[in-house]
Amino acid sequence: VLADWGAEVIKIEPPTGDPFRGLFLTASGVEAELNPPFELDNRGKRSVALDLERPAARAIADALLARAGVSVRELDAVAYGAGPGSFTGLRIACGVAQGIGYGLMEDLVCEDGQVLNPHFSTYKIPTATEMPPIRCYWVETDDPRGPYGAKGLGEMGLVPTAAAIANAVYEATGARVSRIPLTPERVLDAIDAARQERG
Amino acid sequence: VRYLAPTTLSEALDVLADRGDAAKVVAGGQSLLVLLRDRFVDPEVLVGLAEIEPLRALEVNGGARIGAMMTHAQVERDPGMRRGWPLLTAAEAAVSTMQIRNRGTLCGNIAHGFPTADPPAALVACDARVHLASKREGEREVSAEEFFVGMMETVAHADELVTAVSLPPQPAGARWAYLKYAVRPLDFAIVGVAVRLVLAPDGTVADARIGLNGAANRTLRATDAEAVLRGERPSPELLTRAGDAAARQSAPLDDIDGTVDYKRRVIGVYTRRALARALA
Repeated sequence: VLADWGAEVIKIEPPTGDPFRGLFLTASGVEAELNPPFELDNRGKRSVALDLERPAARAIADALLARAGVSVRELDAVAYGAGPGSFTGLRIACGVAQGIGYGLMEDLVCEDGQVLNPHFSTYKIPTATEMPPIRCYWVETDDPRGPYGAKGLGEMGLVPTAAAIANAVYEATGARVSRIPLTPERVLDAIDAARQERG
Repeated sequence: VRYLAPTTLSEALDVLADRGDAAKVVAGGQSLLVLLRDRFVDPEVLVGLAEIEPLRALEVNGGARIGAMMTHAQVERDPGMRRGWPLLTAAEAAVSTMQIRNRGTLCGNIAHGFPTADPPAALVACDARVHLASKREGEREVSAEEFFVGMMETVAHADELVTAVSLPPQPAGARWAYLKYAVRPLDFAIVGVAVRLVLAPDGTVADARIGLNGAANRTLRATDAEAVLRGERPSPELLTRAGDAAARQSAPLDDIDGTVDYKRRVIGVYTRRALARALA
């Protein structure tokens, strides 16, 4: 789309080529010259194949990025390390958003088999106004059990977030809250209890 | 459910006189539609106010008069309202989300009588009056303080319509603050404190009016805290005592937003902070 609007779009592909180049052929089983889905998605783009594990190739990529107005880094998170603001980072941020809701707000309250907060007005989840800026830092590793060392990405933001918030509360107040969500009332109670313990 | 769209106030009041509780009024619909969806109310007739032109009026002329069809957003953004009643426009800005402020009305909000809505405390602190009309009793008005009776309960009878809210001019040099405590800004307040203070030339408190949302099953006027302040010179210690008085006078509800003790504590702290903000 950016190319349609007149931008110069350069795509960095691995030495084996964007896997999508072969996908249509594999799926259709037809040995065709043309790959319409690939042509459609990549119209107007130029490509360069770089092996980002090699310093010289990374230098070329860095030079391209340095003069680029916009960089969209996807797929290659492991080889290159996607930065904040990339689509990959966005996926992590979504997981963190869920983790913040899980850790601070989401609480299904039941009484005599009745859910007391059946609406999103009372069963609270974070909205755009509650989201802090989220920065992603990548630890590049591989999972020996995943195909080609791949590891799921979407959930990773969710799993540790509630515990991280509880640890942050402990760090700030000395009070351990052992139940989520950490509502303000629970945090206040825990602070009172910690104070009493200290005497 | 039948939806009627009368074009005059008289027609609307006729329907309410005939049908009483079987009729429900729709202004912005932001409270009523939730009740309909949850089947808390099951009216036979809905009376829409949208076609009644005179209810679409906001007059600022010394005092202010806000018609039943004026939305939160219209009140919040009106330059005359912002100049003359910044406490109310601040409370209006605190109502839920922009989408709801664009549809929901101030009069609908108070007619709903929800104790954790934002505008009521500001109306109490601004000494507002609520105008009611019915076929049976004609027109009458009550102070905002008397208007709220209990959880979703007001002095308005089933055949009465809230036609307007009016506000007297505010005292010269009045200081004010609206402080809301909620988990997310778009939520109903757990506690909302509206403060209006007038200082005498010698620096003592000449007049104090404090409205509290979330402090009882209805919007409360914190008369005990006001009495603590009147005639005294503001100090951190005085504001803390006023906060304590507000907390003691409160009878908050024990619900999913928190326990009674917790809410009392928040009321004390938020009253103190709202006073400090007004004086800053």
